[in-house]
Parts: sequence; structure tokens; C-alpha cells
Amino acid sequence: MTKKFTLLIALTAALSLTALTACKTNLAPGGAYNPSVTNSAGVVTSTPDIALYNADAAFKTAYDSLNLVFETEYKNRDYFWKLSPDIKHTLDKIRPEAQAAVNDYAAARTAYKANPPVVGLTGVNAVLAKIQQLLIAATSAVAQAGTPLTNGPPVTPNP
Amino acid sequence: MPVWLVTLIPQIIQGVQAAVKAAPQAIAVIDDIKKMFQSWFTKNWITVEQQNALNAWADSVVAMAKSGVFPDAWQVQPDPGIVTRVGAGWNPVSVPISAEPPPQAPKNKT
Repeated sequence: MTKKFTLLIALTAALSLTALTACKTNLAPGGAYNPSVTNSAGVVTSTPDIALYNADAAFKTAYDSLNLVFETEYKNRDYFWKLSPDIKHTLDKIRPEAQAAVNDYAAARTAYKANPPVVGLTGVNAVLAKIQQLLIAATSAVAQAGTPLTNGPPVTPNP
Repeated sequence: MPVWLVTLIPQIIQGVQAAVKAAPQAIAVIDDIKKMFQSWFTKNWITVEQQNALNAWADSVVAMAKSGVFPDAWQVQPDPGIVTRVGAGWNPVSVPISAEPPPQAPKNKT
């Protein structure tokens, strides 16, 4: 189970890290990231924000992947504890940082939307890089624990 | 645009014109062809639904961050086998099940 779970997380992490480089480039008019505005003369103009869309999409992918790691460990805590207590301990170090990253992303995104030309996406992209690092760390914590298919179960001392 | 497609376009147009002349139902066929051509040029477009769904998700994350309430799986919780009991002063104390009682301080001999 852990091997398949690790492969799934690794694949999701790879997709998350490549999301920014393999993105579509055109936003259909009328969407939340390309709102259409009609002026008094009846001329319709749109202001696409593909950079924000790509950043949000990449953050969502990283968030969902990290949530998958946390949820799976949380729902199968006894199983992973028997594999290695270090899994939970490592994830417990990552959890507060992940919450902080989400808070920082919310603040950066709110600030950007209030004044995009001035604020820019530097803060948003910095937090995005942070949460992607946390995802890699969380995935490594599970992968290094080993499974009965690779390193075998933890060695128990003889009674 | 591929050469074979360029040579086919006149034939496609002729076929469409014939269909229009043949029956009113051809109008629906023409509409489908228009949508097909449009999809060729807009297949890389991010739809309105996709944009709105992602924006709604981002707004929900912002709301969650403002509330400070994260899912249980994101919270740090005691290790398995740890129980929480009421300690001195009605303050909850987390101790392992197998924890040995604290060593007793030596009594002063008087």
C-alpha cells in the first residue's frame, strides 16, 4: 500500500512542479481570470491574468498533493506508526509549516488582487515554491520509511 | 496549416453549400462544423468553467486561512498510544500508556 501511495504522491509532486511550465496560455473571455468589461461605448475589453491562473493552478496541485499525504497518514496512523514512527514525527514538523504556507499564500494573493500592477506575483510565487518544497519533504518522509515490499517491516527486538 | 487540409477546404465548402441547398437541417450541420473549426483554434483555451472553479477554490483557501481552522489531518496530534488524562489542577496532561511513575524524591531523614 505504501509503495503505491508513494508512487502516487511522487507523480503528483512531479505534476505540481511542472505545472508552471506546461500550462495553457489562453483564457476564455468572461472567466474569473479574464473578466470582460463593456464600456459606455459598448466596446468589450478583457484583462486576462494568465500568470495568476497558473500560480493558483500550481498551488492547488501542490495543496491537494500535500493534503493527500496528510490525510492518508492521518487515516492510517497505526499502520504508518508500525512502519516507522519517524513518518508521523516528520510530517508533524511539516504540518505547521504547511499551515503557515497556506496563510502566506492567502495574504499574498489578497494583496496582489487588491493592486496587481504594484504588488506583482513575487510573493505568490515565493510561497508556491515553499509549499512545493514541503510536498517534496512530506513525500520523502513516506518513501524513506520503507515497505514490506522493499526493506521489510521494522526489526523488533527479541523478547 | 497542412497542405492536404488546404486542398480539402474548397471541397468542404462545396459540400457545405450543397447541404444548405439540400435541406434546412443542414444548418445544424454547418453549426457543428463551425464549432469544430473553432475548437481547432481554441483547444488550448482555459474555459470559463475551469477559471471560475479554480477561483472559487482559491477563495475558499483564503477564507480557511482567515478563519484559522484547518482540517484535522493538518493538525499535530499526539502519537498513537498516548492518552490524555486530567492532571493536577484540572490541566490535561498527555502521558504515554507505558510511562513509569515519576521517581519519588528521597525523604529527608531528621
